[in-house]
Amino acid sequence: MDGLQTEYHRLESTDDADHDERNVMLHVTDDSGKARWNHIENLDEFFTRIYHYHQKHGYLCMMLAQVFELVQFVFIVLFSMFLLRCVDYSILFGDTKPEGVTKVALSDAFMPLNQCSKDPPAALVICVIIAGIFWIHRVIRFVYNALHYWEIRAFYRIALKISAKDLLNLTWHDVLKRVQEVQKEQRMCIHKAELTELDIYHRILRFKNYSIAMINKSLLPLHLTVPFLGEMVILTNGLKYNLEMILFWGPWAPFQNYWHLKEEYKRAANREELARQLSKHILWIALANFILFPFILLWQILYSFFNYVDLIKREPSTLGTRRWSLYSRLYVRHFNELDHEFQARLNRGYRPAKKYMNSFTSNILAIICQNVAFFAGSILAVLVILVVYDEDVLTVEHVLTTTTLLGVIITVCRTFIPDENLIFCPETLMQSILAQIHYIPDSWKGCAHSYRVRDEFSQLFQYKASYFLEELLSPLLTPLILLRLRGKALDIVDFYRNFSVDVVGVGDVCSFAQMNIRTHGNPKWMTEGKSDATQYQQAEDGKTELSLVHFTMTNPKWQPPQESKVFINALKEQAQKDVHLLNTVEAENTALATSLRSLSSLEGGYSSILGSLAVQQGMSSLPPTFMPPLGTPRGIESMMARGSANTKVRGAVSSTEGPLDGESSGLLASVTGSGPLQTSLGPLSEENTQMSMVTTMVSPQCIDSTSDMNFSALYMHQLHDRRVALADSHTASQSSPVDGVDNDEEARHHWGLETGPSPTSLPKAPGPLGEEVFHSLPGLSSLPTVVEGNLVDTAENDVNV
Amino acid sequence: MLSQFFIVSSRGDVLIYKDFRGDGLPNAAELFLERLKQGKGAELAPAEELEGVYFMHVKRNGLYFVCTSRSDLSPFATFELLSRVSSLVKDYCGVLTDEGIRRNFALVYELLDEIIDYGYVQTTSTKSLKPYIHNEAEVVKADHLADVGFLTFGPGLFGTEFRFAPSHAAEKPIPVTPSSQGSSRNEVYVDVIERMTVIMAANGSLIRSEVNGSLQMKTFVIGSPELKLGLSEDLVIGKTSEIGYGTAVRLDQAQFHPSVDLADFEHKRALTIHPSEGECTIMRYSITGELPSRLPFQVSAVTTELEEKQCLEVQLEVQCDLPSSNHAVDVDVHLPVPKATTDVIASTSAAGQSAKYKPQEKIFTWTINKFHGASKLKTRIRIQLSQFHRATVRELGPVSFQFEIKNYVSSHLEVKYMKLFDRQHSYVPFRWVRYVTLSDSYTIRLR
Repeated sequence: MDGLQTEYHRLESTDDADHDERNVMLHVTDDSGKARWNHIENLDEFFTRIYHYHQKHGYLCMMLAQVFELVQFVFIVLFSMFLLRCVDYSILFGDTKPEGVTKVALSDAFMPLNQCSKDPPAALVICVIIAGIFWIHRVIRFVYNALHYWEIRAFYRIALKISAKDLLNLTWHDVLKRVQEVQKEQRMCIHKAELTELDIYHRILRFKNYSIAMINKSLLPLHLTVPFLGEMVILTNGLKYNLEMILFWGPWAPFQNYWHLKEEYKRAANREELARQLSKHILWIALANFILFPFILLWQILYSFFNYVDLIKREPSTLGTRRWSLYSRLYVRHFNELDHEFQARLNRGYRPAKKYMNSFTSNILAIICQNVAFFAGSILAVLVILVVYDEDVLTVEHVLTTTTLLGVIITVCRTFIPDENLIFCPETLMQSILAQIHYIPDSWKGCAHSYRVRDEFSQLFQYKASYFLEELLSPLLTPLILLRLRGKALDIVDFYRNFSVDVVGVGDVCSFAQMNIRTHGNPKWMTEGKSDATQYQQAEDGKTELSLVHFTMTNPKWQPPQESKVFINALKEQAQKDVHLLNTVEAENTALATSLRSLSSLEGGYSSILGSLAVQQGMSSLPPTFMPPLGTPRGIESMMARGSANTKVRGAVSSTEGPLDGESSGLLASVTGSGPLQTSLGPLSEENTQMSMVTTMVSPQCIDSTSDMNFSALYMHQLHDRRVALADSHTASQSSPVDGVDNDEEARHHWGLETGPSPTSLPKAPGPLGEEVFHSLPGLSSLPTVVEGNLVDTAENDVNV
Repeated sequence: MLSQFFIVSSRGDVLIYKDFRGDGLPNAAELFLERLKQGKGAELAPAEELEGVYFMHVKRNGLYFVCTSRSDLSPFATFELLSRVSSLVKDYCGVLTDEGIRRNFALVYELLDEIIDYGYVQTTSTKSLKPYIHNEAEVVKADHLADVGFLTFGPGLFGTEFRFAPSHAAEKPIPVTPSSQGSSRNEVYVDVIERMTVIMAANGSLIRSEVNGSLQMKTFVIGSPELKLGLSEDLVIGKTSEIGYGTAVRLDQAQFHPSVDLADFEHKRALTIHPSEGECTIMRYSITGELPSRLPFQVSAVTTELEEKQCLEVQLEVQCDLPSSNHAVDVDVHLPVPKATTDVIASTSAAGQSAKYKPQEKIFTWTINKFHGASKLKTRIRIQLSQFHRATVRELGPVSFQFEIKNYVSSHLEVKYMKLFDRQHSYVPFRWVRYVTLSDSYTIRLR
């Protein structure tokens, strides 16, 4: 076999029929053109790129954006240099006049190139060199990315069979499905025959999940008590970058490569040693940050200057408007939630959140601002009138400046003056925020009107101005926080060890993100008996549970682990029962409902209630035959989607939904076991016909899972609240009720009664529940209480029957 | 027991010399070289007695593996040993060339120390030798011309894999030390090589045809996994009288390596092997008589005698009957010319062909670098003769061929699949296969 010229061919055969016998099979593909994508080494990066390729609308868009970014950078540097060195400001400001010229042209103020490039100061040269290095780095990255995405483009075209045109018409879910198909025939991941949705999500969001879990378990010391300002949460882009570098991808990070933790992190014996190392590395990075801080600061200033000055000039109110803070982006994010899903959720939550924040006004500030605005306004008015009378006024020195300034002052002041037509309904707004962001601390419930909650919420939903300020201060704050992080080194090491699991075909992932109720369920969130997590292992704020529900909603085909499936089914059953109750009640309530409809403010709300019922029914596993022909489930949900698109309606949903929904689950305890499931099927379908008549607008395209999810989140929070309240009510008899603290044993006992099939303690349940729960329910206006009363009555009738 | 062992290159250099017992001739290597020179290129007898010492040798890849002994050894055992030594050297050095041995002489001596002790053979198994060998082989870079086809495919991003490996990919040493083991990949190379012997009469009828094939495997895998090799399912072995017109792959006889487990062969045509690292021949087979496919080359020659010019004009037309998707490379067409030839002038038509005349041997050689299937090539040769005679014309021919046909074997034997079962390690090795047909002796008579 020496000296032959014949090349070896990869053995690829179609004949793999008898692969079963020893459970080891070789995968061979026959289509030669496609076999390029098996055995991909770095699937993390690969899937992430696939995701970004889809999100950023294809190759051309991505590359264009990146090219322009590079051009922009050059422009920033050149332009700022030009402004610094080549402009003769004395001419521009008219202090000196160029000889022989009567009218100063803009070009006169510019110095010739050879003159301004003469002996530049050393600092400038250094800055330019640094910028140059940075730019070259970016260019290299760009080329690298371009090559990689070219490969991705080929993957889309050949393997996924998605052309650039089709890309825009496909949702991520469609792409995901195709990727799974491709895995079946090509084996991109060699450890598994099929990839589940969760595997792909895990790979894309590996580090994100870790950081969400770390925030969730309050591992990172981001809460800073600042004198005069109280407690603040500091998380800036710079800090985030540093944290990610330390924790995930830096040279000293615990991760060996993208998908594996270093071995020593998995052994308990080394924890002290590792913690020491980690803390040392953090110190180094903090020091490096501190030393480099002038440069970083300079960069920050330059960047934000060019990015935002234009915006502020055009629309001064941008300073007043708010944005979701970086911290909130980690706090309210579900495990395994992709950027676009998350962003959509935040965007939907923006309006109610803004309304909520606007409904709080500082009285002192309002008075001051009113007056400032008055004075500024009057001066402005005079100036404007003068200008209108004779435009020569404009040419008078500083008139234009003054007008502009006054305009800015007035606009800024406006934002602090409360809207006179405002209705103060914080609880309602909080509900609608919750419907979108899905996570709020328990301590906020029922206190949405208080300034404490408002201040805490403003940490999540901060002023843009304060965001800029934080960003600018970030180079100073980052080393500070990093130094504080050193103390947590041991906890971080422990966290990695305790909460990393090696999943076949995925690598090491954060165990929280597996969303297993058994290992990480929190008993306060309807998971009693299903979870054996200790306090340390439980995720806070029902993160595991809500993430699980969210993930099953967004990926209906995914098979959750056993315990999680049980949990979801229990939840569905619960909701189903509630629907039945509601429907039996609804028959008598239609009159009420119609009268409600006449109230214009609640009209939207009504349809949404029905919508929510529909969703509940969608959640329940009833066969589709119960759906009347007129209204397909899709149609009903599309109505829900319309509801969610319209914030007004959405707000109304939560205002009515809270008590109604609460009612149903409050009643639940009394009816459990006695109300047979099947009896209410008739009314249910009847209800559906009504519903479909109400909803004449049926658009086929909709975001069905989002409204579903919003509802589930609210529903779960309601159940959770009820549960906490229940526990409180029982502890109240023994000790003083403390917010958020409850007696686990006691609570477990009663919860078991609620869900469990044993009807023995039936008579006991309604009494305390009915009262206690309703007291704890937030923001009940008089009208809903009437509804409540009715519901309670009918429910009791039901029981009696 | 052996006295001495040495490796001699074809140029006459003694690459390796080892004296085991000190009872041999001190000038044994020189003696052997002397014998080589005397033979003038003719093949030496494999076993000879010189000055009371038995010399036995095998020739592998242009290298002579020689050993001497004073005692009356079993010659076949010795030949077997010598060929084992040659394949061990190949396994550990990667290649079996002059250069390879020169660079790795320390390794070869180390090997010899372990294989033969005081003239007695210890072990010749690649696997059992492995713990005792500590020298790292120095890899001899193969000719880079062969890389061209490899590079055009480009490196796959994200670690995606190639579909082709160059022909010299298997020529690498088996990993010895743990460090080199970690970096190496799990690969299995399978060669299906057939050698053709054909003698054809001028009228096109076959006088003799024979194909000798072998299935060779070179493995670089961790541990000792079980390997299952699936051959063509319609494989028939044995010369039965009922040869249908089906497409069945028919072999007249087949031999298997003793370690091959044939339990699944009857039903599934699958061989179960526990391959050790390195090279081994799993199967040898032969087909005689009627070959299952057409012969790759046919020749027609038209001779014109130009008596007044004292020359012969031969128009040689070679037809390649391979499927059009295949091609042969390095096709040498040898045409012996009459003894009275003074010169040969050839007019070859295209690039990629060359003609050469060797006056001493009176052989004209026409070389075609690449010969596509289902095509014809022509050449016109003018042979100048010192004296023209009727009989001289008869001295022309026969035409003999040397070739290598890529990805084609005339028996159509195929490796359908290859599976690896290992309890400790779970991995999918890189599996490479190539099919080659070589000429052993392919002769077509002209008259």
